[in-house]
Amino acid sequence: MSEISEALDYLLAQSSASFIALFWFVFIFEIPRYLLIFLVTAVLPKPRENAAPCMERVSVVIAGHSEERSIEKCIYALREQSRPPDEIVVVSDGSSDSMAEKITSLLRQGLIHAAHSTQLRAGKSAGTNMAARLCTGTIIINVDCDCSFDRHAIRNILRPFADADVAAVCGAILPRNTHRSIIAAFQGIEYMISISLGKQSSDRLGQVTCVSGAFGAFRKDAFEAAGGLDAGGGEDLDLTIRLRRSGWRIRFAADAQCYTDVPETRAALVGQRFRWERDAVRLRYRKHADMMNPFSRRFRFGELFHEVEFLFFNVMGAVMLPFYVFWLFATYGSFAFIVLLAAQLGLLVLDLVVFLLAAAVTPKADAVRLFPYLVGYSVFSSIYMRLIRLTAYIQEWIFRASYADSYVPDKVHKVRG
Amino acid sequence: MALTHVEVENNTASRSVLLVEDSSVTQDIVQLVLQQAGHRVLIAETGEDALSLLAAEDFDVVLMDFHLPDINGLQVVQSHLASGLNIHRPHFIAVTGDVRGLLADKLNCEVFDRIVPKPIDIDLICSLVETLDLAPKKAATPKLVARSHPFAELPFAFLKWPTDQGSNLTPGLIGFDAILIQSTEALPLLWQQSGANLLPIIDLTGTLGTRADFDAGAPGLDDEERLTILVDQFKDLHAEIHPDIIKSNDPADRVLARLHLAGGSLKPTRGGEHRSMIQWNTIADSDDLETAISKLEKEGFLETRFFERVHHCPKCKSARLLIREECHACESANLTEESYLHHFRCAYQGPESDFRQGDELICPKCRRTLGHFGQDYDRPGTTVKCNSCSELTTEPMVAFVCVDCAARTSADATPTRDVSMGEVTEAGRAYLKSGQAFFGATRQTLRFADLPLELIIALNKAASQFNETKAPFVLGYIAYDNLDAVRSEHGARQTAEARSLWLENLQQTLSGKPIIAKGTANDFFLVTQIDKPEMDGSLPQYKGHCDASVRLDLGARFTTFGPKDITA
Repeated sequence: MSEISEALDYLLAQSSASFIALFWFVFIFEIPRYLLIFLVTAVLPKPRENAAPCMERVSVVIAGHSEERSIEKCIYALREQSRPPDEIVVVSDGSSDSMAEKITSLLRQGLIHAAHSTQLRAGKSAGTNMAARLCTGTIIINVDCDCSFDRHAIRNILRPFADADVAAVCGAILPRNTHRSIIAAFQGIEYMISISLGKQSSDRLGQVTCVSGAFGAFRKDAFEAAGGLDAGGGEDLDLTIRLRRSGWRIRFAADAQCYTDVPETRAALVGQRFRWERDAVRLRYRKHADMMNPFSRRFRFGELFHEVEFLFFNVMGAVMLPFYVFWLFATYGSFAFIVLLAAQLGLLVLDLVVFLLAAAVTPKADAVRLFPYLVGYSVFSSIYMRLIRLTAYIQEWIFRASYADSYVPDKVHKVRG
Repeated sequence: MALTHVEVENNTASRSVLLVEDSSVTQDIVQLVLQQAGHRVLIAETGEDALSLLAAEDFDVVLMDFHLPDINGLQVVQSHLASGLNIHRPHFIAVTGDVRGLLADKLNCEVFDRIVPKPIDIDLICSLVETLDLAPKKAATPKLVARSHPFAELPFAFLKWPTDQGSNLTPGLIGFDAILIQSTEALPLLWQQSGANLLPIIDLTGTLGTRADFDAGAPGLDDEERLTILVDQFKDLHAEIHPDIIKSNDPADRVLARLHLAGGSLKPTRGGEHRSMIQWNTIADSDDLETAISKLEKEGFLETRFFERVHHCPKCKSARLLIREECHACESANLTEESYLHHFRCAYQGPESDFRQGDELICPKCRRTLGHFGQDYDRPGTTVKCNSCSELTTEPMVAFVCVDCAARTSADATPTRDVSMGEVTEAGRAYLKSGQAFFGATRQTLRFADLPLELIIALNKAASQFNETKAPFVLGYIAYDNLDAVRSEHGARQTAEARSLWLENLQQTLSGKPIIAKGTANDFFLVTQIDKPEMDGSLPQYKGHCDASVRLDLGARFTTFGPKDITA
């Protein structure tokens, strides 16, 4: 007890400079990130969208592998849209269940416009490319089978295309199953803050770097000029980067609301995040490494910004965490626990502020129900997710683990660049 | 000379009829019926009388009994025609008990316009008189040259189709034993011919298949013997059929009779000749059969089993449909199958034609040459390409195109009908034997033609008395519900005896002067000087008395008709 009061006394006795020196990790890797998000969203005006109806021909393309159970619900949600798509093209990518029969029957009922099935799995990229090749729209909306949509989602995702420089628009995604487990509830908060709020701030800075494969719209000529999706994974990030590097603008439509199921168990979440983070590192710093090279012919500051931002906050933030903890214990001994606790308390305050802001700009999220999970989320996001990221980066850096993801068929891994 | 001349009110449909008939009962009944129908009837009892009347007056129709006391009917007509007085040639209708004998002489066929069998069918006579075409007749119709046929030696009268088409065939084709099909044309017309359903069909063309009863297309050694057996079978079974059914124009009755005669089975086979794609073991048109079969099925006369489900054109009902795979977008059947190619390296996936450049497979996305199957690329599936509109699909649509009317229908929307095979049931056979009586009184209306002649005469007298003096009478109709059961248990003889005894008892029991008349399936009584309600009140008591005196329970049941029921 005396140790705790001693530690508190010590903390309260710090001058501003020594306080920052003590909590350098928080001041370097946490506060700027929060501040950036907060300032951009609060200060920069919300972009105004053109409300005129989109006159383009809109094709929804869906490539799914063994999605017999979710495809029908997804199609019904699409047909319920206030601006229904002009065409729905579904590809069953080597499904081992009866998805092929299901989509044929949907075709017969006239609910979709084209149904294609292959016997061998080719992966999400090849399936989507084929669907895009076979569709006739000038705007392609790529959706995942397990997604469902608000009634105005398609109308809203089309609005930014009024700007002829926009090649792709990312839809807003929220978890549907936050009530199923604590892990899912944490992701509910995470999606509110990082996807909804985070992407809104990125959008204002022209820094949207990933049009999600779950719900994203593309101008077809831009999609085709870029060659469509490359062999996965992380193909959505990859295509977005390529479009950006070709000079196109990428937008985020905060009111084009889509819902999906997030992993409910720790194992599933870890698997998913390993994949995401490995792919992000591989694509950003291997495939598109020249974005950081000022001597490259295609160098642009806009791209350097998000590369550095990711490198600093995501990669360095994860890498430095163990060093910080180690340094704390080496320097302060048993005081370190109290220091960490104090840091976590500080973060909780920051999380609370950002959560409230996210709730304000994400009316569709059930913020009231998620609020009690905020304390847990603070630890989950600042420590647990950082450790997952760190592991993923090490795996990728040392073992090139993304080349063995089961998400991509083996035949593709062997030859993928 | 015994002449009866009855003037009736002249009207446009009225015909003048000369009845040459020596039986007074037949005279009475024919005269009664024809006069009721508004025709003018003269009666001659002998050939000489007939000739005098023919010389004196013009007649529209002459009903000529073939066997007369002095000269026969043929001689009468020949003498009349030879006399040169035939400026207006009446229609000569021969009435005879020996149709076959009459038909055997070709001369008869030329002289007589129609031949009507005995015993006289009053309805038939009446309809003949009313429907004959009274336009001036040519002296004689040119004779059709009969082609010789392999069964000319057999002692049967053959109707040769279509050679005999258009000649004056006997109503109900009475006198014929079988129909020889020389050519398959106009078969529907043949089926429409009353009586054609009751004769065996002998196929000389060898093309009718199961529709004919006998295939004589390829001559065999035992043909004559087999044909004789067939004709005999038809005759034997024909004898069992109630006159109601024989005369019926109801398609269902005709089909039922035909099936019974041909062995009791309805046998469909698959065949492309008719647009229903189904051939039946009858020459009836498939389209007509459908309603007849469903009616027979409903009545319980035919027990059916599923045979085939046939898709048919929703527009013209033809089952001659071309099945084709076609394009979703443009409905063209010009489709070719093509592989999808998946280039692993750049994730391009599309039809092979996207990659094909001469001998090489070159990825349209990254321009790399695909060199090694399994390493660079594979073929994850196949697609179907429309050569008309270039649309690609995994599963083409299936559609039907009607061969007869060219209408196109998608497979899902094409209607189907089920074709059944069937067997005539016990109920069906009972109906064939007992005719309309099978249905009992509920569906029975009093039909003049059902009544025995003596009863009609008596009824006529009673009716005239009622008209003059309002003296009431009751006509009773006796049905025996248990007749079939009793017959199968105790035999026909005992049943007939029981029925006679029962009737005799009834005659003694009924008050007044009852007239009892025996019919085939039913019996009748006529009682004068009593009205219907009174009779209905006493009948249960009478029935009890009669039932008590007979050992077998015949299940007798009465239906009564008063003067108003009959004159209405």
